Amino acid sequence: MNKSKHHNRLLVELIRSEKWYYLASVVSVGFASYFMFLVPTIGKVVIDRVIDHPRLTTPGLIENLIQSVGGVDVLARNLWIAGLAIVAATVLAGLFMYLKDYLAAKACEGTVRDLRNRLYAHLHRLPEKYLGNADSGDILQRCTSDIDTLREFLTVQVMNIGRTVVLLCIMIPLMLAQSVAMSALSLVLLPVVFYFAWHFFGRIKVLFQEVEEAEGELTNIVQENLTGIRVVRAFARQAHECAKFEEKNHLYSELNYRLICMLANFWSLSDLLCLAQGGVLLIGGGWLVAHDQASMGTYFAFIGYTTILIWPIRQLGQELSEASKATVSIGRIQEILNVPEETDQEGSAQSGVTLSGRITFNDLSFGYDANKPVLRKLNFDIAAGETVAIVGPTGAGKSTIIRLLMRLYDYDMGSIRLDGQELFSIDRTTVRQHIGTLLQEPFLFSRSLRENIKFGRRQASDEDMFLSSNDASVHHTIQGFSRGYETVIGERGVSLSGGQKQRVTLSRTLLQDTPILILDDTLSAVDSVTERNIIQALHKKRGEQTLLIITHRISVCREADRILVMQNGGLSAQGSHEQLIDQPGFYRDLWGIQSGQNREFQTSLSNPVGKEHRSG
Amino acid sequence: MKDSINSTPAEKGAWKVLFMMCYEPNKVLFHRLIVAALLTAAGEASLTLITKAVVDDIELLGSQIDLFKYGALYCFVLFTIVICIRTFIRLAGRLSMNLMYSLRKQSFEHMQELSFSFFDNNAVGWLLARITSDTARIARVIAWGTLDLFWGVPLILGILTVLLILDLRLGLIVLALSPFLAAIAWWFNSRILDSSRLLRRTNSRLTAVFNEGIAGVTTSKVLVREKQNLEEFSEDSGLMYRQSMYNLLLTSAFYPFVSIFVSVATGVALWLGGAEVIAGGLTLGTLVAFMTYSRTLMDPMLEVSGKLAELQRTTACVERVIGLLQVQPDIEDSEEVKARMRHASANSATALDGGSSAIRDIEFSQVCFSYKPEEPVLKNFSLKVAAGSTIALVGPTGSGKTTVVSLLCRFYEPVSGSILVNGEDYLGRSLLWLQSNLGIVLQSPFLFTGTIKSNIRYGKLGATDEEIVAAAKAVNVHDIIVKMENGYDTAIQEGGNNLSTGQKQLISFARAIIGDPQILVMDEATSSVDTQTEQLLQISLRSVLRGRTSFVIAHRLSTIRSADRILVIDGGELVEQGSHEQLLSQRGQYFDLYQKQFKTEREEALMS
Repeated sequence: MNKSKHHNRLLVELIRSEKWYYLASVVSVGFASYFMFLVPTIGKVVIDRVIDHPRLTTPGLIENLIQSVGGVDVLARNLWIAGLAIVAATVLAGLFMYLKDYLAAKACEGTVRDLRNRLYAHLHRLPEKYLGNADSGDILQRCTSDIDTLREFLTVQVMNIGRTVVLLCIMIPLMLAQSVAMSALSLVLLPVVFYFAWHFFGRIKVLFQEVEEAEGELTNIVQENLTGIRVVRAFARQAHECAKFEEKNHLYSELNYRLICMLANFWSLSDLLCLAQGGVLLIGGGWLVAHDQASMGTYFAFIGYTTILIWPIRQLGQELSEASKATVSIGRIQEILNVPEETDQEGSAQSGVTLSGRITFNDLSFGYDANKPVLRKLNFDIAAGETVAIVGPTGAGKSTIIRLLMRLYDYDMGSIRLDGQELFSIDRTTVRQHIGTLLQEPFLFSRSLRENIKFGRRQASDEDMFLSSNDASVHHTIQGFSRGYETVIGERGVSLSGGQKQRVTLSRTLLQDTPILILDDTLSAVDSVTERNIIQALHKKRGEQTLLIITHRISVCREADRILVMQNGGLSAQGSHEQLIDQPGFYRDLWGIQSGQNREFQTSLSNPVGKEHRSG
Repeated sequence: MKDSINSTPAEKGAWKVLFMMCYEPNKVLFHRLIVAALLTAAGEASLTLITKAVVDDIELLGSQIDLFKYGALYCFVLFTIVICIRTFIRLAGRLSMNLMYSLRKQSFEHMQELSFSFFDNNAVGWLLARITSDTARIARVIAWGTLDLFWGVPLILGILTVLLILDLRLGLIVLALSPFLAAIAWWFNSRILDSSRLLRRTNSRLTAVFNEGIAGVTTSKVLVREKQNLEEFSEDSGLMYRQSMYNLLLTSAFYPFVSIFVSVATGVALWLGGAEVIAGGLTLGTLVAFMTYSRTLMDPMLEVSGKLAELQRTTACVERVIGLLQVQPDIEDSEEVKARMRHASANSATALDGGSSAIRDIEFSQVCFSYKPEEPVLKNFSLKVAAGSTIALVGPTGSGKTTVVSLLCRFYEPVSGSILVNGEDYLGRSLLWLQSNLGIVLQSPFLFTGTIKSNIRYGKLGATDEEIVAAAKAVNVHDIIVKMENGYDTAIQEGGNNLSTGQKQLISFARAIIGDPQILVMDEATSSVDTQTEQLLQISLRSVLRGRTSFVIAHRLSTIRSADRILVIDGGELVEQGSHEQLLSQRGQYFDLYQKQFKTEREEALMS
């Protein structure tokens, strides 16, 4: 399986990057386990040596310890020492446990944070070609809920599995050293408990998924009902909606109840196993003690050991079985990371160059799909400082020119030159720093207007911002808001009209002050008077800035130095307004409609209803 | 402002209201749950007593001990506990599902009663969270909280009582320590819950940032903003990191802290109890029992304090849900209409409220309306429409066209003036009757998850497949549908994104006419569709509108021209009305609108 290899790669890479933390965490859980082991052991020593049989001796370290406080008799008179030892061992166990959690948390959370940052940065470097076809909801899910699953996996599953494994490795040898028979009695059911939990949670996964889906359907019904409330009321379908909801509500509650019943079986049966383990030890151990095969203290201690071990074992089964969920998420994250980023040609880093703004297209052909060409052998040459209007019907390839110029897409047939340099030999950042443009769909971020306008130039002064807003004819509008430039827009703030959005984004682009400016039908939602003002303002830089305006308004074309008419991916005509209205074609037709010198309108006035002329 | 959550009076007593709602129908479940919880507590408390007896017997009798007796006893208690646990989980599950089911049902059904003004003021996401997550949380807290309280508190009290009986002095020491244990548990639980909530909030903020990042990625590239975006993002992910760390460390400090406290009790028991055993005042079994019990006490303490802390934090949820349930609808049938509807038997001539079922003529008489008191939308609007005529409403954005049809549909009611149906004020008729005689096509078509067929059938629930096909044919969408791979069974995914807007609009048009409504309302139905769809719609409109009272808000000329009467609305007032020819010859506002639109449409034709 090729895929699982990928999963492992990311996981190994992630864990390796923080390996010292993980290692230190394993060491401290070892210490913690040892001190946890000590607590019942102290009880054992006291019961055996001090209370039950003061004359026996214990071997090794513990005997030395007893001697160091002055022997058994002193200890018997000062049992507070033993009590204190229990507290001390617990404190130490707690401290090491906390230390382990701290180290592991630092490692896991650090990993997750880095991965989030990496994904976010990666997103910004994905080629437009990929983003254009990708389902953004799916990408979002990979960046958020899959990361959450991974985080859960690292902080809960990996940590607990690690803890339990270390605990077993430390405790079992120490227990065996004390009494093999007792150990056998207190460990005999543990594998069963583990297997049962592991098996159960493996099997119940399907039901969990069903419940989740049922909940999703229920939520969907409510959401649709609320979003479509107008439709519901328009057809007076309240009763129908309630019935639809009722069905899903019932289904979800019953499925969930079934899940709870399964869990009730699991918890009660695993409790049965755990308590039975206690029972085996109680009776079996009791027999051993009664027949002098083991000491009372050992008996007491093993009851304690079992309690320490049994609950983590039960959890271990559950967690191992749930860990498999994470592999799916890791795979999905890996897939996104595997998408190649936009790259620049070797040696193309040319930051620092200044471009004057000459644009040359030479025999350029391009298509988003290989078999559907959008541009066909397009040729034009725009001098630095020239103002050019581009007109043409939808689908002629006008916006594609911008996407290529901005290096959002890469071309491979023909050539584009900026100041005579092949475009793909200039790195993307430099290109984009030199060309100011607006996307057709104005996008604003949910922050204040100030932050939005300064989005591309954070260090810009307020004066510059006012100037660019003035040029974009939006300054007065913004000042009219009660919070002015501090007005927050978006979901939690004010929503702007289409025209306002266009003007704000224009101000944002103007603030960048680039040698080349391209407007793509940017002012479609702006009224014609405001549009005139904006174009006037843009002409202040006439001759200094190369200005490309994609438009369908004759009034805008008229003021350009040159008009390019694009049809079917190529130039069908170019020239000045006067030249173009002299020849038949798209431009003259458009001019005819807009100038109102249109005979069709007059005829339509006299046309009887229902027989109007249509042009398809 | 009846339809507002904030004005509900009963917020203080929200828990009480909720409890009364929950307790009555589930009385038996509650009682059984409590019994099972008490039995479990008793069983768990007695396990340690068996250990004590075994230890004491070994000390006393040595190998003469009757281990079989204890084994049997242990088994008995063990099975009792296991059966009780299984029972109480199932009972609590049943209870929580019942509560969740009925809370959701009640709130959903209540939503269906509320008026549009309520939905204008409350976001869908907000309401959705109330109906889904708040109800689930309340149900969970009540069911499992009841369980934990009735298991935990008796277990704590039982253990303490046993300890006091076994040895008064040691018992008192443990008793004295337990309030501290409870306080620590409460402190930690409260903080962990708060920090988890904060973490969830930060997490959803991070999701929003990611979402915006994805949506605005091209903008960021074009503005060369990648580096700063990342810097800003790492601040957010850094915050998330710190809050997660805090939450994890709090959680991981909790258990050690509590166990240290417990070890103090164990240590003291060993110290004082051990000395007593040596002195002969205490049996070894009792000492073992003390040391075990002080640890057993920990679990119920943690559970109970955890549940109490959660309960306290659920109050806001409860208030929101109860508040929602107590909102009164603005628009509902009058008492008189309700009474009539109970007695009337609907047949073809009389409607379900006993009135006439046919809609003959409609009149707006001096209607004034405003969404907000200070901003009037309609001013003394009067209009008479004869049955069967097609009315086109034109005018600039915000002039009040949509308000006219919203009032007609009684989604809102006039502030003053009245709307008369067959000469009778429509407030005296039933809402259901009026609205089930409407066919409405909205500007942005909304389809439900399901199939194309089920969506068309939404307009007439009992419609046969033949009727569905006939409706689709009537609006010229049949050919489009049968060309799809699954035809009428084509699945509509969430929001219908697998269809084009034009296709969706045609389907919603079929949905509107399948029920053969007496009144057809089209609110900018053709403005968001492409020219091709618009043509399809146009052809079908003529036959659909013929003889049917219709209100059409439109800016497409072909739609407007085919109307019997055109109303020009501006600033909430009727400024011009008449037929297309009449209005054109007036050379007034309509003439200007027409001219402008004519250019736009010609240009669109050229552009495409």
